[in-house]
Amino acid sequence: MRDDEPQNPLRRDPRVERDLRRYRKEAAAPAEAQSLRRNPRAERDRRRQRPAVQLSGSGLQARSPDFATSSPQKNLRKGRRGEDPGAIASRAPTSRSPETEILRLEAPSCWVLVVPDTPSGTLTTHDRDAIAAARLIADNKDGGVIALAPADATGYGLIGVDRLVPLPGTDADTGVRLALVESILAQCKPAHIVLPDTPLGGGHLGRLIATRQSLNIAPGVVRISGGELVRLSDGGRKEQTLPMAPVVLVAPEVSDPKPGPRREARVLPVPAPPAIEEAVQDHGLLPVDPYSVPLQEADFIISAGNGVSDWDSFSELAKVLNAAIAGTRAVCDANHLPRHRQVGASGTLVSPRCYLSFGISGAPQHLQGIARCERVIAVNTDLHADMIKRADLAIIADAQAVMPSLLALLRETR
Amino acid sequence: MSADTLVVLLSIGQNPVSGRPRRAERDARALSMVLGTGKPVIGLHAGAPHDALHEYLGMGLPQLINLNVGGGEDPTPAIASVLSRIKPGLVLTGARAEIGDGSGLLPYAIANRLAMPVVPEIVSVTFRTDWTELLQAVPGARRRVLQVSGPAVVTVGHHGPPLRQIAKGPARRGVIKEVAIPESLPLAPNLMLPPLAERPARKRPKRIGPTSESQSAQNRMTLTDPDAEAAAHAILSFLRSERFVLDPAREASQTKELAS
Repeated sequence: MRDDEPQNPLRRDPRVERDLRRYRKEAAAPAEAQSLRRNPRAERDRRRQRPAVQLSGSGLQARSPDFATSSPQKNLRKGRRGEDPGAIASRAPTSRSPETEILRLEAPSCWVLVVPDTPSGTLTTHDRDAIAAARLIADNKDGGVIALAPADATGYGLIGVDRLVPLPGTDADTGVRLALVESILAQCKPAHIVLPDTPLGGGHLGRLIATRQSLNIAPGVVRISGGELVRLSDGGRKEQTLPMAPVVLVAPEVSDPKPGPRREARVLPVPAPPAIEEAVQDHGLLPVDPYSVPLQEADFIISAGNGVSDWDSFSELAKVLNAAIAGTRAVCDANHLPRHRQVGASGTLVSPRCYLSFGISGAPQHLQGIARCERVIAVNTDLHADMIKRADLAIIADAQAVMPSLLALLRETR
Repeated sequence: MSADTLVVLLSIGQNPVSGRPRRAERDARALSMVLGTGKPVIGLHAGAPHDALHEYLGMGLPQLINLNVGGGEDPTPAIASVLSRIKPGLVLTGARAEIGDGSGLLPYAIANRLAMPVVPEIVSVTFRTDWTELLQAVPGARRRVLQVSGPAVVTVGHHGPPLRQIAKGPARRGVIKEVAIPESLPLAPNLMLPPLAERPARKRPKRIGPTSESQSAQNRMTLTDPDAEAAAHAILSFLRSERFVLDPAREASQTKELAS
């Protein structure tokens, strides 16, 4: 160190003096050195976390020694990284530890009712966006969120739902939902109703409610900011800002689902009213031809790659599962499937809820094509294939062995 | 007029690229759907008359009525009063307009006034002796069969038959019948709130990558070298847990056999 060097008494060396001061202080009391200088970022972080999240102690305590002991440089970097949304999500205590506190609302200032579509009982991404929008509207007014959900629904507390009204069945039709929403309107008097603006689901139901009850409506809302709604008009050429309306129909991606404190999602007793009779009789779905379903629209795709040689079981499996048939470029090049069935960069970019793939290794161009799939199941012999990394359920086996046994199992259970 | 009559509500559309007025695509699709059925079809437009309306006549529409509703006025009462005089078997229209608010509320407002059901996203209409069979587009490229016995309002989206071509001769020769609206009409409350501000739309960034919890890889599973039965069981239980494949009992209840 410099301070060991012989010094000229006539001339001061400020650099040495500063180094010396710093060295002595750090050696004596590192924590105190921190407290001399404020760390506004850490203070802000602490302020933000405490009232909103109501941490169970562990989250905050785990972080504070971090701030105290590390060097200022390190601290700065940590603070910066803490600002990015990914890191916030990863340290959010809600979804990680089951023992975190549950936020309970007894009498909020208002209620926001959200009616997700839940086709076949599960939430779509559009539904999650609508629930996030409802949460946002409720948070602006210190309100609570009521959700209409299938009877066996779970995990709604994690996405910010305070109360749950169970539907009589898993896929109740519009008449049942309409009657239930009207009885909730009479009982809880929600300030707003939020629905996903889908032609058959929320968009239909929301417009019916608005016209029946003479409520103001804001359809096709693309953004919610500061208590105002933004929607597109004039065929998407103009942007309208509307005041908050009682019925809000939201477009996809209106607001991103954010991790927040866990809510209780308590079941609210609402008397099930008789369904409003519709003059329309439902006579069921028509069977689909797996080869002619347009791939962009398909909900469930079964796809083949170079690892498939048993084409009879493959097409039989598609018929039994009621799925659309697709393939990779290699398969279409080899004339096993027509060109319009190709998935990937040079074929169709697909967005089904489920993508079941047999013998596909996962070329980058193919993975590009399935980027918007919700769930991927991969059957492949190569453990290190990229498709296996992408898959939610990966099975390292030969497609020719798995396909007939899956077919047999499906036929057995029907 | 009889209950056989079909009324198609027509509006003026806008070319999405050039912005020039034209026939509205969804309305034209609704018209194409019923023109070949052999039933009498009446076109109905509320608003100022426009040359673009002749395009509908060029598609083979025999009769087009124009209701003189002032600009900015709600056309619902006028259309409802005309419809209650015509008493049509079916009212068809596009799901939403291409110009103006495009809220998609008009069919619902009319149906509410005339106490008719609304059936959205219809791709084809077949007339039987006692009822009308409608085919509805369901997400995931599926079709649902519906039956209505009374009058109904049917809306048409982007699915369905291709648009009929426009023949220039009939388009030019066709006459649009002007009908004045009755003086005293009960006013409907406007359900759309007046906008606070309006500006040209700007492009919004699309969401990239999975953001919701459902898509994040939380419960990823890999089975290495299972035997074929175990692999099949794993796939089926995954499909069941995500409800891509329904349980046998529910499957039976959902896909009912066709009545006819």
